[in-house]
Amino acid sequence: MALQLYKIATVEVGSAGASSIAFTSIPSGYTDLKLVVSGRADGAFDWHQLYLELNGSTSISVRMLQGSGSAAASYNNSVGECGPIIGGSTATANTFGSAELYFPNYSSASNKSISVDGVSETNGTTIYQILSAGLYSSSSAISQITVKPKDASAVYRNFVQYSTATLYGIL
Amino acid sequence: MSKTATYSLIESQTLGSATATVTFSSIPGTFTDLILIIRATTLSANYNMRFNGDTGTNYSDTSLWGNGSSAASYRSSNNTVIGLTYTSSGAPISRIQIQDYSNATTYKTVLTRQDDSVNAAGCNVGLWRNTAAITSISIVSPGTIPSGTTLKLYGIQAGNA
Repeated sequence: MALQLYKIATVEVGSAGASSIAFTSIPSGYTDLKLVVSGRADGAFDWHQLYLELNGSTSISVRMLQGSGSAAASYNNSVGECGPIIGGSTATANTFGSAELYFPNYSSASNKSISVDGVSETNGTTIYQILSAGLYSSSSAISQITVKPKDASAVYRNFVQYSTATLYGIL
Repeated sequence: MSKTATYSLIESQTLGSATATVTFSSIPGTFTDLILIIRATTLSANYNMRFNGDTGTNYSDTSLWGNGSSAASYRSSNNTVIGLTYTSSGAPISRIQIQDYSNATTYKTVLTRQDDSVNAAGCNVGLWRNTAAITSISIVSPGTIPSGTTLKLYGIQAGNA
C-alpha cells in the first residue's frame, strides 16, 4: 500500500531564535494535517503557552484539560491558547516541550476542529500535560499555521535554537 | 536505512445520511495497530464503539474530561460498548488507536482522544474482554450519527529499524 503520511515541511530554529514558527501556502491536497512541535523559549520560566494562529487569525476557541503532576484542572479561552507545552529558560537544560496538533478536514468549507496533545518538561516537581480541543470558526481552508510562545507573564517570547516543527499531510 | 509505509488508509466513509451504525468490516490482519479518525458534524446523540459485532457486556472504559472549568473522570464496566463522546451535542473529533488488534491471545486495549471545543477535551482507555482478532469495528449510537460525519480507518505498519 502507498504511504499515507507525508512530510510537508520542517522548520528548525537557528541561533538567532525566532518569535514564531509559520507554515504558509499549505497545499489543500490532503485530508488531515498533523503538526509536531518540539519547542523551548527564552522566557525565564519552566514553561510557555503555545499560541496558535490559523490563516493569521487567533480567534480560536479552546477547551483544555491540564494535569500538573499533582492536580487536574480545566480551562477555556478564545484566543488560540493551547496549553503550557513549550519549555522555558529555567527548565532543565536541553529540555524541550512537545506537542502534537491534529487538524482533520482542514480544507473543508465547514468550521475546523483541532485536537492538541502536549507536555512541558523539566526535572522538577511540576510539569504540565495537556489535552486541548480547539475550534476555528471559518469556512476557509487552512493555508497558514503559526505557533508562538507566550510566557507566564503573558509576554510573547522567542523560540530558542533547535526548536523544531514538522508539518505532515495525511491522506 | 530504508523506509516503509506508516499510515495506510484501509477505508474512508462519509455519511450521506444519518445512521445509527457505521461498520468497518473485513479488516485485514496485516498491520500492527489500527487508527480510526472520526470527525462528526453536529451530534444529537452520543456514539460508541464495539468490535466484531459483540453486543455482550464485555467492554469497559475509563475516561478523563475537562469541560473548560472543571476536570472529572468516569468509569464504566461490564458495558456493551466503549464510550467515545462526552455529551450528545457538539461536533467532536475522535482519535482511536487499537493496539495489536490482530492477535488471538490477549484482550484488546484501546486508547482514545476526544476533542470538542464546545463541550470538552478528554481521553479514554477501553478494554474489550475477548481474545479474538478484531476484524470489524462498529460505531454505534442510541440515536443517529449525523450526515456529513467522516470516518477514516488507517492501518499502522511497523517501520524498519
